[in-house]
Amino acid sequence: MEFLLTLIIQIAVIIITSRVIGFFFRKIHQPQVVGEMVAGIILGPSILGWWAPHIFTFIFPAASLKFLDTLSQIGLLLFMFIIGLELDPKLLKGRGNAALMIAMASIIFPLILGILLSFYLYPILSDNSVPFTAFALFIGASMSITAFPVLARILGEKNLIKTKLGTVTITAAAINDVVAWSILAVLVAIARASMDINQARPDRLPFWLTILGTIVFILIMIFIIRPLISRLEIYFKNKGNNLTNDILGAVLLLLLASAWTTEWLGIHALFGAFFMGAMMPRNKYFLKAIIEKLNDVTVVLLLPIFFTLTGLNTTIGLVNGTEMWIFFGLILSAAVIGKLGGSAIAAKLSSLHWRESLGLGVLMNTRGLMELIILSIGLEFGVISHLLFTMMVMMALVTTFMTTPFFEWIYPNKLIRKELEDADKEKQKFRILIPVSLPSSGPGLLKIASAISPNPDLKVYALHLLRPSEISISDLGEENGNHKNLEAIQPLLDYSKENSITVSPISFATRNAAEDIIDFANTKDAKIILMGWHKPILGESILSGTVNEVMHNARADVCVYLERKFEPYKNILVPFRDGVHDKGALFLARQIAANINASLTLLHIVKPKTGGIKENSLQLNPIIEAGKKDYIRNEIMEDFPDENMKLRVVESDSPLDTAVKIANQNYDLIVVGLSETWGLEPSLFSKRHERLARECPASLLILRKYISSNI
Amino acid sequence: MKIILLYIILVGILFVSLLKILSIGDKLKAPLNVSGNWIIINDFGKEVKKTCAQISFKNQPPEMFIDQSGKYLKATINDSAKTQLKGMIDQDTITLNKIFPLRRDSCGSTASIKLILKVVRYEDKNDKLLGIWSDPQC
Repeated sequence: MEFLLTLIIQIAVIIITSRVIGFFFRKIHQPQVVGEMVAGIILGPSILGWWAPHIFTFIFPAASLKFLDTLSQIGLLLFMFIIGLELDPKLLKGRGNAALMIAMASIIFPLILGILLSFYLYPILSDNSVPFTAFALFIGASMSITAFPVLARILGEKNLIKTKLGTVTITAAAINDVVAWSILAVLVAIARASMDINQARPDRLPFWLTILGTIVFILIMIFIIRPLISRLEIYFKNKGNNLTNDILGAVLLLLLASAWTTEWLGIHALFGAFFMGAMMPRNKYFLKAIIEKLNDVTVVLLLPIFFTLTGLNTTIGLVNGTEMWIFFGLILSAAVIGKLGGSAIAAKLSSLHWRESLGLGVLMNTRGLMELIILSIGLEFGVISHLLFTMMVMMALVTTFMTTPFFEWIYPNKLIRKELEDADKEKQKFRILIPVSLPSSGPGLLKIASAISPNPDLKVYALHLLRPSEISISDLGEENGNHKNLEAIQPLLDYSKENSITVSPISFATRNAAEDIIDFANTKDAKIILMGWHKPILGESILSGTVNEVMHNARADVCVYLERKFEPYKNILVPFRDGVHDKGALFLARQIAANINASLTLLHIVKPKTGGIKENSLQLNPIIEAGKKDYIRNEIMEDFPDENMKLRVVESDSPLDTAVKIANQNYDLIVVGLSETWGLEPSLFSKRHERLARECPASLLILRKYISSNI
Repeated sequence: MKIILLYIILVGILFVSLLKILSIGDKLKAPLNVSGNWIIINDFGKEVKKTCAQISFKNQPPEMFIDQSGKYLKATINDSAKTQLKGMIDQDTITLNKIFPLRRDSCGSTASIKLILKVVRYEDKNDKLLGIWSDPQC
């Protein structure tokens, strides 16, 4: 091993320098990665090579760099794999249009500015071996990237992840990451194909085969490899969530196979590593175990080697003279205006305040390590020259370095504290989503919503969904819909003004109402989705169609309300048998009774010992047979020790008949849990008639309690 | 349908505009690529002896490496002193004129060397750089 001693010295020097410089940068509130980038430049020809050329040549002899390069490439593969592992698919969907719009703007603006700048730079800083298309697209793409890890770390440090700004930024950055890497994969293929034509290299696949092969690769990964990997996860679970060396070995083999395939296809090994990371099962214990095993050696040992190699390719001395600094100024301006400006304008158009928009723009403008990865790909293919590489590295350094101070200037800590307090207050609000279809049902739904709320801090989202055919071109661009769209919610809004209830009206077009209702409820963290009673188009069951879909899939409690009279309720009945939905209904009814000062009757139907119908009534201390008394006391009354609640215990073979019969007795609101007992199990195209709804004169509130699978 | 159509139209316009911009850019001319290793032939040694700068190849092969960043060039001659020259390429003419670290014998401290080269391209043979060394200080 000719260079083993040299390699050991190199690695030791790299680790010491990166840790020491990183430490100093942390002290001035900069991310460690900025310090490591600077450490790489210090070890390169710009500082060490200029200040002590003999030491530089001794530590980094040119012939030894191929070993460092191999190590750094392995480090990058592992790093991109970890980035893929950390990609949260939940971030990519269901977060509304704002994040998507910002993400797209943060790619398109700098991409276009980069391409336009290329018209000036290409005749000066490129040569005729590089086609303009490859050059321009590369400059554009390298300006579009956002350093997701740096951004996530700053948001985490500032405790901003849970705020509106944090949520939108992290989502936009995640989308940006996926889209930008996908664009870059295509660009690499284009660049490789066009450069290969010029250099007449027959060892590369033709462009069409690269694209076709990539599509096949993606399909194989999704439909064959992904299900196979899930078996690894099962094995991991069977081992008691222990990541054995066998499992880790298998994961690494898959990573290498994927990286090899994409490199062979001509879209670079890094994309294969990233894609394999993204394909891993989203079991947080599994992912955490892999990341823990790989992260330390990657971050502490291998990435600093990459930074050093970047530094070795960076010669700041090349940027001398006014002309060069003008080029650098133009590159930096295009990068900042495109990324920061584009993201901030899109954020402002997405109804964020100016301060939030600028803060988001500054965060999206951070480029960090991701930029260096793209640049090194560009340098490797010869798309960008050493001079341009140096300028772009300097741009990456400046944009990453400026993030923290600029963000703290725009978003001072005291403002963050206030925002967190507001977020806490907002979190304490009880949020109900009311999808309004019929305008006339709005006031009744809002009335029952205000009665349901356990605290006075109620926030209601009134959602009116439109079919695409109901939208005219003039309606587009108004996020909350125009006045015409909000007409359907107007009666509800009038009622909210009269009763001082906070309502946010929203209206947008949908192609799948149930899906959009569920997504919106998730986004707004609604505790209850309160839906009106609608006449079904198909089938005879009212709890079908959209209602059925929402009931099955929503991650919130779902209530369906049938209003028979608008006057305040005085007597509420809760038919109760057993189960989580019935208990939820009882809890809800108790809340309503307390809020509107109504009397509450719990109807408990049990199987008779002797047949027929028997009834015992009690007022808190019931005198009923010992067994039932214990059950009611232990299972029901203990949870609901309510002095105003009347309890009626009925023995019956037919709970539904009995409930219908008793519900007809002077009750004006029936609150009932969703279950077959009450003939209320939702099903598509069911021919069953909901008897409680049809045969009782009282209003009806049906509850489907959300049962989290995590419990 | 209208929204989908509008979306397709917008994306289409963006894509077509991008292609149009790129096709306009394809007409731009970038400097000739002259980067890489060049073998030095001809009577190089004789010419240099006439200048005050000393270039000695001793046992090294007479080569010149050009590192190119667009029109900006840095040439390193494979002599014993690793002489470096900086310059530019303008169409097919290369001008290199900064020296480091040539030894100076008879001239003053501002001694320099200038190399003007013409790029000659052959369809069936390797390209050539033809030119002359000169020393403006001597």
